[in-house]
Amino acid sequence: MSLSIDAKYNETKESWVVNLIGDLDINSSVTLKDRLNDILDQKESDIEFHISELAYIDSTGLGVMISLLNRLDKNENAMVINDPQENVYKIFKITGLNKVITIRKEGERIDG
Amino acid sequence: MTDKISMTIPNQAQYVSIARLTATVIANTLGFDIDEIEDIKVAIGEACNNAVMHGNKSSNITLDFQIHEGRFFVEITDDGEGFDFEEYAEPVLEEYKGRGLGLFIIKTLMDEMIIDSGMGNGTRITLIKNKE
Repeated sequence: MSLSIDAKYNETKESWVVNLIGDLDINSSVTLKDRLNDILDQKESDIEFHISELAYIDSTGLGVMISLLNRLDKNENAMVINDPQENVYKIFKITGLNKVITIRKEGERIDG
Repeated sequence: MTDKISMTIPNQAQYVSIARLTATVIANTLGFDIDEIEDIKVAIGEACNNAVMHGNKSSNITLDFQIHEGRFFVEITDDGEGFDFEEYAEPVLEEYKGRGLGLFIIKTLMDEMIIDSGMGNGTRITLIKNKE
């Protein structure tokens, strides 16, 4: 499965809201990285991800999240990941990324 | 299964998902549970990522699947430049530069990982998951 990326700026939240559907892997991570840099070039702000339909993430996808985090940190903006599936959450957990990224399930903060 | 199943894919990012899905089908056929199947899928995906990153795009990645004495062996071979495993260091998150995370994930998810790589000689990564 490929990756579908839907990004919209929410004026009320003053944040980018990004929906990811499909597989975030070596074949799609560069596309996502470019897209995220594009939207932040348009407007530097917080980003919230909704990933309940993200079926798969690998180390290249985590790499995108880490470099995004670095850019957001520099501009004092924040990142939240909402509703990862169990298998996706496991990858954040075993790599320790859940300690540096805020992850929420059904609105409740579980990590970060 | 004492027989060997092999597949070859072009050494390019767009084909890695085919290797992952095939691994899922084989692991399911062998009777691994859902969590184990997911671990195997991720680990094989990471090993293929490694081949794509270090390998030669005009060549292939070969995957050999085999059960031996209750252990599931997957060999992922590429004929790229190889890399110096001696220089591999486990990633430190705070200083993460985007390398080494894939091998770390494999080590966490599989029971054993053997890397046979030399500069210029390609790489063979053997992943082992115990069946019982």
